[in-house]
Amino acid sequence: MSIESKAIKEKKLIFTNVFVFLFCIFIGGILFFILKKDKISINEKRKLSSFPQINFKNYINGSLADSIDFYYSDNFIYRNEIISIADCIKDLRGVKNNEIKFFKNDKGIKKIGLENNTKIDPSINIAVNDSQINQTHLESIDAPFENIKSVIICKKRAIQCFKGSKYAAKNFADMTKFYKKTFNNKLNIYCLAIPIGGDFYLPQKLNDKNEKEFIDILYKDLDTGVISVKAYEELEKHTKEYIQFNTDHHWTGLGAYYAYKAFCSAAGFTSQPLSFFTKKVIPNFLGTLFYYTKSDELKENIDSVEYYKVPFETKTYYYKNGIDNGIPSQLYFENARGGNSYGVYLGSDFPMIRCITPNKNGKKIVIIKDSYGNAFSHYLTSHYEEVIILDYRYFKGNLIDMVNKFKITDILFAHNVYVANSDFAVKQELNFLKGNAQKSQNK
Amino acid sequence: MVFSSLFFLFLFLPLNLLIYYSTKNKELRNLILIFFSLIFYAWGEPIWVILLVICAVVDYFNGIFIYNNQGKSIAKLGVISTFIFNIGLLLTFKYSDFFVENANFIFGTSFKKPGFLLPVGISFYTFQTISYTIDVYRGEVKAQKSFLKFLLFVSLYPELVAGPIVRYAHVANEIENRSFSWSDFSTGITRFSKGLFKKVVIANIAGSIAVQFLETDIQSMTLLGSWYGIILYTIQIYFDFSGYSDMAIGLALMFGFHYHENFKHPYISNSITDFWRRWHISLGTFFKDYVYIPLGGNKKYQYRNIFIVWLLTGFWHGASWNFVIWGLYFGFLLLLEKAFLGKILSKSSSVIQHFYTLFLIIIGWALFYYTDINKLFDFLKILFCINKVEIFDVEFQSVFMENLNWFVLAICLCMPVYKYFQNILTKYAKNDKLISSLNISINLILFIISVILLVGSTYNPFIYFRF
Repeated sequence: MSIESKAIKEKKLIFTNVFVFLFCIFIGGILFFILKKDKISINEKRKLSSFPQINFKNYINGSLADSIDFYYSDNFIYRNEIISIADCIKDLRGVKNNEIKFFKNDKGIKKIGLENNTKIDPSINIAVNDSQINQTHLESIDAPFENIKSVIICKKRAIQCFKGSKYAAKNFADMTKFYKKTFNNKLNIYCLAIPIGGDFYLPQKLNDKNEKEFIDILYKDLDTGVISVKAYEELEKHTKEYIQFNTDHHWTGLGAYYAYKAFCSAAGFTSQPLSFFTKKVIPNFLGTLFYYTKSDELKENIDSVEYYKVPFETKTYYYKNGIDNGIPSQLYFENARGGNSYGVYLGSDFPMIRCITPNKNGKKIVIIKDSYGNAFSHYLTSHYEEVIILDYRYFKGNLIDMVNKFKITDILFAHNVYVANSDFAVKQELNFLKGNAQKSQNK
Repeated sequence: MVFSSLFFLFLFLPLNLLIYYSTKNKELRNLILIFFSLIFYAWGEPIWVILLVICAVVDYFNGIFIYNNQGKSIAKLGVISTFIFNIGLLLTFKYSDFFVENANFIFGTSFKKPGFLLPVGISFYTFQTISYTIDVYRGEVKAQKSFLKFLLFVSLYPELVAGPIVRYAHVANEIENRSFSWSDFSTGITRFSKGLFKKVVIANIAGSIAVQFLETDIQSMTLLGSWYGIILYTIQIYFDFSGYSDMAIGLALMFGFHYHENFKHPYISNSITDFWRRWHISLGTFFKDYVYIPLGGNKKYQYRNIFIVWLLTGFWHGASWNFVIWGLYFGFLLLLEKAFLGKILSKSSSVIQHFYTLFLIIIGWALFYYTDINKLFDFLKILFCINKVEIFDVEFQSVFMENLNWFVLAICLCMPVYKYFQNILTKYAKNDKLISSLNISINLILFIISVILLVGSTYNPFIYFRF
């Protein structure tokens, strides 16, 4: 081949290289403006971002540019199809373990327990339409994922692996002891440490009774006057039943029922049989751990929220600030759907909820809880004249004032193991006695 | 704005190329590039673009002043002015919090930290303008008479926010008069695609896995997990930074500028001295030309000069003590190699040389990663088995296996495999067309894979943006 013809061929190939690249970026750019854009991503179950409002303020603080970048990326041509291809490419990265998958927060891991993100404003009447992804659902999945630690998917079930410090148990036990002392032993103080499913559903090599070990240490450290609720043992008998969600970090209504049975035996009550309650079901629930992991296999094990309603009327109020001025509310929010379905219990993590029951026995209980307590608290309405539910993250009132005002007889700490392991919860609940608790921030 | 964003790839860049090449007027082309560069910078930093322009104005006049007074002692005033202004900018925006914090700690005072946000790329463009005025003072380059052309040098977006630190002498002719070549354009595309691949497919993935092992509680760490984490960070920082440099070099080529290389496969170095000849070359040569040699180089107070250069190198990377420790760590190693270790190393086998170098580099990145000194020491104790932890756990096993193919690819790409296969192909393949077609296909595949992985991904930080 002559030098000249070789040079011509080389030139052609250079042109091809340039042409192919320019074709890609120009066509990609043009199609972005031509093709119709989806408003929601079905795969990710979320609303895709819309073009931001342009104003001087968001231009100057740089958020306009970020929003435009985000808008462009969110509405990129054939986004859903490309993401599916990306998932296939990701599978080539190594040897997949089909039984177990680990997920961790890309942004780093923060040191707080779980948070409930199933808020429903009582004033919002959610449109019930299972076949559509409704707007409220999409917007409410604000996912405080940074609070979730490592998640493992095992046999199509997402489970959190508890890795807490054993030393934290003593702090929590000391806190309950301090409560006992503050109220001069006049109140019954109960402590319910709730397992989060790792012990029951993870292979032993991943989790060798980590939760049980922590709960045992905690209960051993409790003051003799503080009554421990042996929910772990009760739940352990029923692990083959539907006691923990597959796609969410909470327990189910049935799981909470078994803990209620354990509470009754600790408190000396006769628990109501399950048949006493009216069973209802909200189907198609994909919970927080699905949105955290975005794992398709969880869709094959989709949850339903089965809740057991007490068969009597109650008067329920929620309190935004302090212990005065209750706003009428409900024990069950039966219009909860989709990602919010766990919100059927109490509607949200309100700072305080007060439920007045038809009982007239002078027994009044304060439950200090995290979101696990939402599914549990309503069962106690069968045994108490009043059930007052405080969320440890949001309640800011003075508990001593409350005990005096409402003539409280019992206090129950109902926390999952992560929260019972958290310094923040201990600090916060000690502050209840001074009335200067802080609103939760991601600490 | 970042190169590895869909907005840049499919809107900003094509628009820039289209408008730029729609005219043949050189002055107009420069104006178009300035316009796009300022938009690029102002995209996330609308306020700080003013600082960039002020910096260009000050150094433009200093350059003219020095040039007009060449040979006179008054010319030094221009250099001093440049120093005061640029170092002042760095001290104010980058280091003021650090100094106030340390003063409060040492003297027990309680001065409020100014809390300035770090303008992106300030460490790079201030160094570029400092090098310009010094070069004018030394008579190595002529001062740029046109402010717009000088602004183009300062603001040219390929290297503006994360380097390489481009010296005026390297691009002076091309600012005045650059010619278009299809070959350059094609090489630029190839380089850009490679850089994008390095960033998206290697650095981003390495970063997302590394953080799982480096950001976890110290109590939950394992020995192998910690080593794996810091090795992944070693991979991330190289591919992140060299990927950015590749994209910068590639983009510059598309517009007719030829930048010098910034990386030469640093992880195949056989000594720390060799490593610093291959890593962030533009920063190394800056400190060599403007600090080390003026201080006396290896002719006068060599050890002192090395100490100063590495103190500054560490400090340039960030206003935190760990960066100072990191810089001095390498300074100390270089001194050792100069004193005796280099001779011993040169007599040992290449396996030992590479192992020694890589080991020290990886430890260096641990110093670099943890800005919290306590966490750094806890982590080092785990690496060196002083703090006893589990050797590994199931999580490490699982993550390691799930990323094994990718990990092997990343390790291979640290070495000059591309060049190696290129040479083999050239040697054995008889058909030139086949080789070139293969190259084009590889470029396209690298680009397309990168874009696919960019869509829907959220992890896309550039480490060197914070410097």
